[in-house]
Amino acid sequence: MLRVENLVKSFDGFLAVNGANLTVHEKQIVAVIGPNGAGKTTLFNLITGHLVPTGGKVIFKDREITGMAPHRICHLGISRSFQLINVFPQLSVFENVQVSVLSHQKKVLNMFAPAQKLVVEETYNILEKVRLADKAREKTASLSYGDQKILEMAIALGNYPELLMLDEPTAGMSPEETKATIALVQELAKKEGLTVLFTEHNMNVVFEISEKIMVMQQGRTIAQDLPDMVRANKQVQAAYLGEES
Amino acid sequence: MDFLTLLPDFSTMTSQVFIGLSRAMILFMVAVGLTVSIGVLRVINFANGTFYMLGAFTAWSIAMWVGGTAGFWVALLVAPLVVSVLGLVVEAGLLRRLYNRPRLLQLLLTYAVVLLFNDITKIIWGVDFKTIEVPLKGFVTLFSNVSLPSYNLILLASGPLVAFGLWFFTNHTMVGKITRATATDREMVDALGINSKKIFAIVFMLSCYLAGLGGALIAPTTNIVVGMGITILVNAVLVVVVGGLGNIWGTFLASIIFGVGESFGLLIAPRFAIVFPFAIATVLLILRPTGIMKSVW
Amino acid sequence: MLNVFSKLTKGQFFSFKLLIIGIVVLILLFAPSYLSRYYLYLVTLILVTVLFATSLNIPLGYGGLLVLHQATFYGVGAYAFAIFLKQGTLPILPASLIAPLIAAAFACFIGWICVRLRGLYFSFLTLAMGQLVWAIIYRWYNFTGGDDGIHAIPVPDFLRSGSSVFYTTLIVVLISLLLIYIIVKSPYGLTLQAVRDNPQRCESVGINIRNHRLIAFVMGGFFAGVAGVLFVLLERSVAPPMLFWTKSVEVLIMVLLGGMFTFLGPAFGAVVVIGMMTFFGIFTEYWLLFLGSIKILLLLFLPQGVLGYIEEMMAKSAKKIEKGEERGYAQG
Repeated sequence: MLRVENLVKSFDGFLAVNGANLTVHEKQIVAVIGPNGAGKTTLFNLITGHLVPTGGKVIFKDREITGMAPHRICHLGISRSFQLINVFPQLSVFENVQVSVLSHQKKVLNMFAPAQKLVVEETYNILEKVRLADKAREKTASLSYGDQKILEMAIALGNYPELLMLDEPTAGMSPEETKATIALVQELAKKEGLTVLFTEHNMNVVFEISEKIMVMQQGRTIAQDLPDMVRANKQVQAAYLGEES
Repeated sequence: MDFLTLLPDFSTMTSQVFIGLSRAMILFMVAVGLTVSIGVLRVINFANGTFYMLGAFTAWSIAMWVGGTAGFWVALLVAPLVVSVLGLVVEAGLLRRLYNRPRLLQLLLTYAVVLLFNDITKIIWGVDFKTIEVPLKGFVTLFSNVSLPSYNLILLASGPLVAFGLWFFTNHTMVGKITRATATDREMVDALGINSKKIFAIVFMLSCYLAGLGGALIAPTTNIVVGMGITILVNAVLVVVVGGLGNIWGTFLASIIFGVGESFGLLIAPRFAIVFPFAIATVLLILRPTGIMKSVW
Repeated sequence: MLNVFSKLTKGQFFSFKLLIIGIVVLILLFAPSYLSRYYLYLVTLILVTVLFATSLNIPLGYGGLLVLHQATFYGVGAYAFAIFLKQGTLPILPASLIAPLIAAAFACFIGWICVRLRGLYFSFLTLAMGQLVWAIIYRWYNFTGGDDGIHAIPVPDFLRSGSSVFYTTLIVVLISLLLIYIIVKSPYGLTLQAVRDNPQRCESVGINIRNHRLIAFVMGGFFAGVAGVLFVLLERSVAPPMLFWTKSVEVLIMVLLGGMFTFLGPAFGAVVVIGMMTFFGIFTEYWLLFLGSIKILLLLFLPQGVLGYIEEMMAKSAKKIEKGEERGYAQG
């Protein structure tokens, strides 16, 4: 479904991503892991069009999307959440999700219908899926950190993506919140038939839910395999333990 | 009709360039004050044009009071100082409260200062325009048949002097070095035990001094009126942006482009000369949105 | 005063606001019967300025675009209309429709170039291009009358009396405000606010932010053009100062004073500023002095604007009541 070939991104000569390769099949849950600064978030930004690659290709559903504008990539069926909370602080929880649903239904240029009465059901459906429906009318700022991270994901779901990309979905969460979130991601993937690509620093989470793991080190893909194979990979062990293989 | 006869001859053109350059120097003095306050204080101070106007009016009063040709030279020394003291009052009374506020609010509050001083000026000096006699009369011959009003030589010299002085100040004096550090990281400077509040006040006074100096220098060549502050302000703001926010040399270069551009405008289409700076600014901003030289932001 | 508000719930607020607007409109409807000629002129001028200020708030308050030169479109609308009438190229009705469209076309061109730039650079390019338009109009004597402007613009007989101009203005301003209200409450308006709050996230949910901003800019230009047309009806003359940069700053101050995050804030700011100008103009020669100081004080102490401040206070007390009720309900 998604194929990343030899992707390169340099910032003023610094190679943040230098030869990343990744294949994601439909309905797979795939994790991208690697030490801090390995280039995971940059890879995400390259796939979703927030950054333009210096070299390499991104292919989604047999179509090259390298360097396309983010809003166009989104409409092709990829949506994402962010590592740091990245929501609409002045809007209510409901409106936060409504924005992406409206965008998905191509209603953002409708100027004469009252927004309050549009896509209400769809938006509530999504909020119910992530269990935020009872907080729909609250201001975003009054949500707990964990709930804001969930809202972050709910916004991405509003685009009814085929490929959902989550950048550290549990970063900063308590163990209980992490557990609940992971269960939620698994449930969504199963029920909605989503393909999920995520980055994560919590290895328990990674090995618990992913069907495939891609490992990055210094901008390069050093392994891409089944969880057990990755666990046994000497190079990966070296990367994490800091030893020479 | 022969097209070539429409073009002015070489000597007219050259002297026009020099007149343009001398205007550019005045523009530079107002603009560089803006640039310094943007670079260090991060405030776009619309009141800078007002200090330029006050420089001109103060110079007029001092010149009248002292009298004679000596009057103007005394005014040239004293007026910018008076203006910078006034600047300190404004900084302490208002600007200090603005440093961490939203940018739109900063813009509008400094603009409100413009309104305030416009009226104070009207109360003190009245609404009629004032003039100061040119202290240096006659022309100097530059080469062959190109000549220039003698006073313009002083204007021409003043710009590079100020630019060099500022460069020396920021690179070779202690206060200047601290100022540069403050521009990059205020918290760090505070942590080192240096009073950045004082540095901000000094920088603001400096920018007012330069605006006042520009006003005093231009005074003998123009009608001194209340509106002059706003006219130069619009140009100065654009010069600063085109030059690269906070970059002194960029401001210098942009001032020259504006000044010379306008005087060429005067030659080509005299009626539309005022259009030229804005057209130049538009084109340059489209081509290089963040300015011709590196911006500090 | 706030005690009164604190007894209202959120739904009642809305009705309360509607009631106040209704009363204001009703008072305005009979204005010609109790106002002298001068004050009727003044009220009409305020109405025109209300629309002008609200037009700026579409890109500024809802789109988060710091437009530094909104007066360009106000002036272009006015000049286009004035030139149509003066040269007799178009009858008044089509002229009054096409003039704002010309203003919108200018906004489309300027906006198309400017929305490519970010933050302050956007603002300064609007300033440069706006001043360019001003400079051309200021000097193009054959077409725009140059610095003299255009005077004695002919209007049909039925628009010669103060009260007919007033009613025309009132109707057009009310319709325009209603349209703007509908637009900001539409999906477009909601997503525009989302673009203001977080442009990066908007891109990721599939919104073309450049497009959204450009549309806001053009709409602002269109309604500023409508205000310009109304200004010509009122004054029957135009002159370059109406699209000089200071005019733009004046209207920015109105928007900020009234409150840029409320729909009626800019309108309120227009009323306050023109009201103050008249009041101090009567009593003192140096009204700018008072105006300047009052503006400084208001902006310093009520940065969210006067109406913004009132709404905030109302919302706060309402929240208290609502929470109290909820608690009471749970306990019961």
